Amino acid sequence: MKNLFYIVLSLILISCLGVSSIVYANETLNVAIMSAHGMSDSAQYVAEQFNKKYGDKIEVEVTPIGFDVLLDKMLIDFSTGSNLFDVYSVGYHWIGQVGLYLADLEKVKSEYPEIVDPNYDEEDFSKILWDTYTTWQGKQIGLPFVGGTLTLFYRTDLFENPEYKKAFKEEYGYDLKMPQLGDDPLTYQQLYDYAEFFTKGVKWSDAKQYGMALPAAAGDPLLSTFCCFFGDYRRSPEGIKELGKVDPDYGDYFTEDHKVAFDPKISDFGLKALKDYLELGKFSPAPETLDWITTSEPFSSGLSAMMIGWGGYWPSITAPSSKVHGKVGVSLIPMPHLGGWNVAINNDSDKKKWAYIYMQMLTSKDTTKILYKKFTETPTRNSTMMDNELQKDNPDLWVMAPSLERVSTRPKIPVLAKLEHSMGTILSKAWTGELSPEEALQRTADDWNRIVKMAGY
Amino acid sequence: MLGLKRNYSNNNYSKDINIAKIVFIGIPLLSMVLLIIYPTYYFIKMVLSRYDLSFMREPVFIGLTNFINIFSDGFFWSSVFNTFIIVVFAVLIEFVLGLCLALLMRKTFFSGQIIRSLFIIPIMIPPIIIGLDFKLLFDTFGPVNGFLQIFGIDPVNWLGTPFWARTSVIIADVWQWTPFIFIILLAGLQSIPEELNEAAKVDGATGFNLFRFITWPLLIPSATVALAIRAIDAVKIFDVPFLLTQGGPGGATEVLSLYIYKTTFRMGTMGYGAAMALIMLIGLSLLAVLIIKIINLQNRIGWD
Amino acid sequence: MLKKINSMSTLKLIALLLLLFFFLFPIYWLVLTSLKLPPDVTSSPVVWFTKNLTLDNYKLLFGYTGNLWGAQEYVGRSFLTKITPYLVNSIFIGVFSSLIAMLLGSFLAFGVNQFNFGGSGLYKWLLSLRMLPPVVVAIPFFLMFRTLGMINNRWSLIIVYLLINVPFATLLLIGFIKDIPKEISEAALIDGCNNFGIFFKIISPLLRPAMVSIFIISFIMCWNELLIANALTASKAAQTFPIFTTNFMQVERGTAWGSAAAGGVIGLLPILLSTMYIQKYLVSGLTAGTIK
Repeated sequence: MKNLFYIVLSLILISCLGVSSIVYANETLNVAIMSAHGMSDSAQYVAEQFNKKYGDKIEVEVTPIGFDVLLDKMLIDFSTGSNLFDVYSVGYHWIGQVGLYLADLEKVKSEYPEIVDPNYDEEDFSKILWDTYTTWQGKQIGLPFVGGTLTLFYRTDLFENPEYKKAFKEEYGYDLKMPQLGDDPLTYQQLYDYAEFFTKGVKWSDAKQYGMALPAAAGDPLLSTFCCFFGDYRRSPEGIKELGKVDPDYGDYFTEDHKVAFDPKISDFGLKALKDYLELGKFSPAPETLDWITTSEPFSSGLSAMMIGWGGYWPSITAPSSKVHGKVGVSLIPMPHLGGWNVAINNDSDKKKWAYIYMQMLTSKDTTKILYKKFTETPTRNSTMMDNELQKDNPDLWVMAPSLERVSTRPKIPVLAKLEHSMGTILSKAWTGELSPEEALQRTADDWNRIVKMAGY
Repeated sequence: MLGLKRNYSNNNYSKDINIAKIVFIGIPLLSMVLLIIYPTYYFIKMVLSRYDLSFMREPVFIGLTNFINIFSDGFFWSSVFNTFIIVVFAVLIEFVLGLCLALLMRKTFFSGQIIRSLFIIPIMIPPIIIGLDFKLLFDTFGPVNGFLQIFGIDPVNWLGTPFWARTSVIIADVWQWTPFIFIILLAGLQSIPEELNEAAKVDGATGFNLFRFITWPLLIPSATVALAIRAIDAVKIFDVPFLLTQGGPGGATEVLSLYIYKTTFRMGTMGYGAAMALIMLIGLSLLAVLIIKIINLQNRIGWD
Repeated sequence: MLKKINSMSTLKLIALLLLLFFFLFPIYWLVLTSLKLPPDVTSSPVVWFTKNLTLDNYKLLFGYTGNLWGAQEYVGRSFLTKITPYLVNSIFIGVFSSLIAMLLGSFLAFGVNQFNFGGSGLYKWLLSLRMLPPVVVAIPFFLMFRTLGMINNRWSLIIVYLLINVPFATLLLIGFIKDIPKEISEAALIDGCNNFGIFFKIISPLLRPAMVSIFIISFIMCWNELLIANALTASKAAQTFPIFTTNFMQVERGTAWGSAAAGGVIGLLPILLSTMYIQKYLVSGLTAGTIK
């Protein structure tokens, strides 16, 4: 019995040693991509194409990493100089925090001019995407990979139902209609009315029903969704007049001279936006629980008539197995909010040439079209977004380009993580009722001032 | 007897003892000491430095500034508060439930072996998986709310309200560690001689009195050990809040370990995080000293 | 057995059943979710039980790229990395760390007992090591290994875990060594055995069941550990199984939580397989030898 134990133990050890010391014949290009829906799938697909072409010299290995720990991993990698990954997908709002460690792509291109694709066509990218995703302090540090704006999803069967349309017209005095290509976006009032109507105005579901699924969970969801409401005021003519232009590095939450724009002491737009947000939340299941995934939850199981979420969730919401398959449409919320990812090169990498080739492949004109067709991850190129064929086949595509025309952005500055944590902890108390909206807003603004001051801006 | 005979001279013997001492005591102790000394040096250095991973590759000395900043950091104090609340309630509930289980299973039909085999499972499951499991369970559309709906109660927003989120964390911790207390108390119960109970019953004692005057006093030694160890372990809680709520909503479940982790590895301010970790360590040590004094642990062991 | 059940009052029986249900249900739910099809995972009303079960969630973890869940085409889901490297790392780290800990722990326990070394000071020191919060350990070790260039290296985890495993092993073994009658070692001394002989030929065999249990328990503790592993590693060259679980934190619920649950079930395996063997020593170990 004893002997058997030792034998088994030795076998386990040997097999572990064996497995762990497999020597790779080629060099490997390590790519770390956020592990959400189409992103890692796309990266893997392109990796396979890359390996077919260059596999004898170097192979790409894609590692999906969860959103919540991706920033941690990047920081560990960069700060220790370990060069664990050559390429990262970087959320644009993290750029400030890691920007110093990302390679200057202009330098790479000038060092290896032969790898630059003449058909790459940088103009094909929307200007706002190019500015937001690829630049930091004057350097070009990334290529746009995946776009995404917060979009409105809605139940086409409910909104096109003639009975409901009649009832709505009677109650509210105007037509129940979702903007389509070429129309103006919804106004906040419309959004509110629609949500109210489908929560209380008409019974369309046998179970509990909600007009809206609104994300407000602490962290990224709260920061982004609140920006939709605040950005609407911020970029209105009055907002620009009072608060100045929006600095691309600082985003909608700051004034032109880098003060906290939603501070009640500076303007009352912040409070108005917060109240709009809270009011709309009345028609949603517990918004403070809803992060991106759990917002699509009520919508996909048929519990809410609308939802606000990233366009990239389209495939999983409308999958054949979903309850709402075939009944979903998209439209523009009053002020969308920009999310999105670039791909960037680790400055410690010794394979910058290959990294650039891979990234170029991943984001080229043709590849973007293919990736959108296969994995429906939100594209960043106008050629894909405005392609008529694709628009015919994909009901979610038409909204992507228009939503970039007027969009709000997050701060890119290095203390973004602290700002997000602060808003997530303090402002969410307005949702849970622990603080009044005025108090929560004021405290958040004060804390943001403290953070920015401590960091020395 | 003329003394024990040994097969080798005294010289060899004392040389042998010395070598043996070096090997058996020296090697392990030396390894442990080494394992502690170097990191401690880095720790002290970090506590007195500013080191921001985002743009510094080397720390910069700033003296005690970190500690000064901690005192005005609202998030730090609320994380201490959160940890306190969760620990106190979790440990209390674990104790009460563990006691009930022990009393219920006292005269049981299963052998001690089987009971322990089953009940140590929650203790040894990776806590992160407990977090995952309870995230599934407490989801707004999950089975717990499903149960409530069967009884006509409205679904509860488990992970989105501060109160219920803390409760969820507490319940997950209770699930994991009640068996620990249960097993200890059961052993304690089963070591109480049956005759005592019989004698008391003969004297007319029943139910609650029986428990209060016979069972409980004899259970105190086991109970104090269980509580002491559980209390100190509970302060370190991390995995469950990490996966269940990431510290939300509104920071209600951001326990100390989680806040320190986020400050150090996500926001990148390592010096500041190290200073907080030092304070946590000091606090925990004070707690332990207090507990040990109260229950006089070392006498119980009879080490000396 | 029925007699015993009847002798319990109904109230007590109900209470007992409720408590047992409380402990069993989460495990049932985890296993069930790992076998469910995506729409059932997220549906409302709750799917308590279904005959539509699938092993696809497990297959996904191991790199399956074919059609999923009976669908004929691409289903929107996350690309999942294979779980195998993480499992291998966890096993590697667990085995080596536990072996070394077992060795060092038994040496120390023997030495303390044989030579009456240490006393309450040593005991307090070992006990205090057991109390270290993982976050306090992670920060200085991160810095130390960074300087040594050992970030994302399995051996750094093996070494760090010694800090937890060695005190555990020592404290547990001291309790058991004390129980071995001194006469046995004294008799061996008379017979010409030196200390090494005593350890290897006499004490070791007597401690074997305890040592094996220590090995298993230490292995499980390494298997479970998340915070330090997360801080010291960054890629699958060294990352352990719990870190793999964190990949599921922000992923589409319907399509990925089946696999997340499947991963969870895999994580249960070490304890499920060894529980009967280690139950005798676990409580003693966790209470640092105070309870046997």
